[in-house]
Amino acid sequence: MERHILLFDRTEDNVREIRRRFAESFDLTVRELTVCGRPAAAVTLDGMCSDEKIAETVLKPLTSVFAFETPDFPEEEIEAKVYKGMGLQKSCVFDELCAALVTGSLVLFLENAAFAYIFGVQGYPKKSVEEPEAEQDERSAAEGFTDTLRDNAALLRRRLQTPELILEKLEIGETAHTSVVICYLADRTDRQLLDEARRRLQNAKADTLPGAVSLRPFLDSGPPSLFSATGFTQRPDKLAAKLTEGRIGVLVDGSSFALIVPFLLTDHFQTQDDYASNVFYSFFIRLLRVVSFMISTTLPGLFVAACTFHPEVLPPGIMADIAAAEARTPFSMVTEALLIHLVYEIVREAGLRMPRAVGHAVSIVGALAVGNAAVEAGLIAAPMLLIVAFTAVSSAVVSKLHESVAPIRFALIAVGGLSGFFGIFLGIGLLLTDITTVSFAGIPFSAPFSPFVGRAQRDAFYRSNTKKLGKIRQKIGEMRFG
Amino acid sequence: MTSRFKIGVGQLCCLFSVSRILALFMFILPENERMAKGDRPWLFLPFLLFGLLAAAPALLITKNGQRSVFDLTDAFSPRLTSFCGVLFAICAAWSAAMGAARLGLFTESVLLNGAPLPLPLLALVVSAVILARKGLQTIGRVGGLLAALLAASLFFVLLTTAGRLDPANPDPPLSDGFFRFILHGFRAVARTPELGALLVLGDRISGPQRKAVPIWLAGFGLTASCLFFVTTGVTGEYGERQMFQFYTLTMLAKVGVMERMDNLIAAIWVLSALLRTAFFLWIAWECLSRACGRKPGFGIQAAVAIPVLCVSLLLSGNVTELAGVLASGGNEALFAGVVVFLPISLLTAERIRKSHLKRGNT
Repeated sequence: MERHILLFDRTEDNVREIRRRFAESFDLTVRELTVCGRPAAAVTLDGMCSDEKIAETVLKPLTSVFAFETPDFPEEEIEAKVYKGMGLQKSCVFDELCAALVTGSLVLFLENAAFAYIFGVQGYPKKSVEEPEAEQDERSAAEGFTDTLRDNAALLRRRLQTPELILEKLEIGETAHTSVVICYLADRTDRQLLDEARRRLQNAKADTLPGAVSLRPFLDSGPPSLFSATGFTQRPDKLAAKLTEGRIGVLVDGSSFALIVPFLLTDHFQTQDDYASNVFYSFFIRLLRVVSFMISTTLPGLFVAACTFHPEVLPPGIMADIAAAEARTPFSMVTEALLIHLVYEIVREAGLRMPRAVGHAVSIVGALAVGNAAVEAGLIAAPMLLIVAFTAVSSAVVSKLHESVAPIRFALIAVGGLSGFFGIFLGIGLLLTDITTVSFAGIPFSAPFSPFVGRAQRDAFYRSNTKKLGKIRQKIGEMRFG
Repeated sequence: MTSRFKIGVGQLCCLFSVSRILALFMFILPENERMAKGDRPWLFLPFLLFGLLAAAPALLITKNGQRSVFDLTDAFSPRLTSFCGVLFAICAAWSAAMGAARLGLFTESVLLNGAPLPLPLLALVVSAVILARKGLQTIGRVGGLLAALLAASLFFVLLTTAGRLDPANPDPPLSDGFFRFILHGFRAVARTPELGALLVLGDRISGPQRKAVPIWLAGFGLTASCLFFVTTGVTGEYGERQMFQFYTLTMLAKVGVMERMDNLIAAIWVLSALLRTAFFLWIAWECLSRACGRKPGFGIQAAVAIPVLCVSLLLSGNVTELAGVLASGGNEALFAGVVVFLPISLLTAERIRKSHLKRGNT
């Protein structure tokens, strides 16, 4: 580690030291000036600062007000008159000056000065506020988080205009030093929950932080699981709503996703639109999402098990049609199901990774050309294709659970083909085990159903009307039990 | 890996209910050991009476969640703790093996007709080990979810089959005499190892155990009586000849488009057997760890799980015969010794010791 080096007297030496530290990086910009008749240098990292701000707030006053040579350096005048109220900082340590430069500040060196000035003139390119693509709602706000921490904090503040909203800043990443903000409502958040989240984030050892979602493993604890008690969202309104329930949000600079802890299984079946619909419809839609989750997890496995081991559960006519279709294919049902799901996952992944226009084309080719051709060529049976298509559509209903659901689906197809319903039921038992094991700071992922929390049922699968919900201050800390 | 946290008394009742329903209804005893058809709907009366008597020592020891039987034995001698630990571990492992064996018989007869048994049993025990390793809290949470599923399924089964009930099928009560009625009630309680588990779980349960356990005994007794009444009333003499009488009933149950309630019940039996086996495995690990004075590590877990697998494999083909042997009195004697007399002796010894100490102080 480099020693803390203090400022040199000569501006030239200071600039040389900065250049050395940044290894002559191409974006290091040095503007040589004369202030009060002495050599000075304004150093920035190109692209990290606003040129307009530099010109208007730093260079123009310096070159106009302090253009003439003076016997003493007008330190007090600079601080009190010219840059008053601008959050001007000073430092004589190179480490601090470098840290300021990488955050987009301007560092001003003056000949024979005891310190250098740091001006906050950040102005890097950023994405504007747009509707979140991955979380579109029909009747809710159309704003989504951007990639800039300050903007995201402002979006949140606009929705929670209370001094109780606390935004605590941390730095994570030994190399990247990414800014991370813990957000919570001081009057609603459980202290134990907050301490646990803060402790886990402070102990997060990472070199760089590619995005908010890469913090999930640091917030999760316990044995490895297919599910996570850390959720994510791109919607400021959703994060604000969760904070009012006493949960904790985590914003990460450079990421348009916010993390929410603890995030329960029931949260995956809720959207902001539910609160804009009437009670009965939102209950119906939530049930539909639960059923879709169940279908996307178990349907292919149950189908394979039923056709292979328990044909008596299907009506004779349907069973005869399936048997006739399967007789024309070369693979066993379980192999066929595994293969076609593998193809589906490949098409899905290709659709996600390719440019959007091509992605649609790939999906169409995958769905129509491959599927239809495979059936016509007699490689797969049409009923199986129908089951896979229905499963794929169902899994899109709760798309955030896809990464948990996909491996379970493959496993259930395999055990269904090997041991029929017995294997499927046992697999469901292990799935329940996995779901009930996950927790965050003592709040189970399976709450409020197991352990059963009566008060929380008002907004779980069923949603009470908004008038009633407005009267209740549901706090997530109440679910810590059992 | 085992969690030191507590579970709620409601979760405990759910766990007990799932475990008991499986043991009572999945497989019905051989014909000569069965309770008379007319007596079954009244089972809740002797079940509640004997259940309260059997649970009383455990409830007195636990002092509403403040201590387990091992805290009491520790006060006398570490050797007594080791003895009790091993004894309770053997009983719990036996219960785990019996639960697995029952499912083995069901799987072999119904789900995977004629398939080789070792593999499903191995899968069940391995899954139970995974669940038990997650700790008591996870077991309790799975128990809560299963209890809800079970309650909904039983409700639909009763609702849809009640119309087929033939009032002529159930005999009048006490047709076998009062003594046999009482004896069967006692046997039903003696086949409830969950009451013994209370002794071990004492300090792991939060909530008013002294209120909850009697309520559970009454509620469960009534539910079981109701289920027996409908099962006997609907399936009649045909059902009496079936090994899985309740499953036979569910084959008649149809709810709307869902015409196969038997598969739902089969799912519940598999899940319940997984839960029951895991629960008793966890109890056995806990007891053995207290006996050895160390945490239930891999050695202790393997020392219980492997014998459970072997015993369940041996038992699964002979559950019917074994049930007959156990019904001849051995089970009742063991239950009375371990769940009633041992805790009463410990409580008496503690009282005598306390009075001696008081006299010594004065």
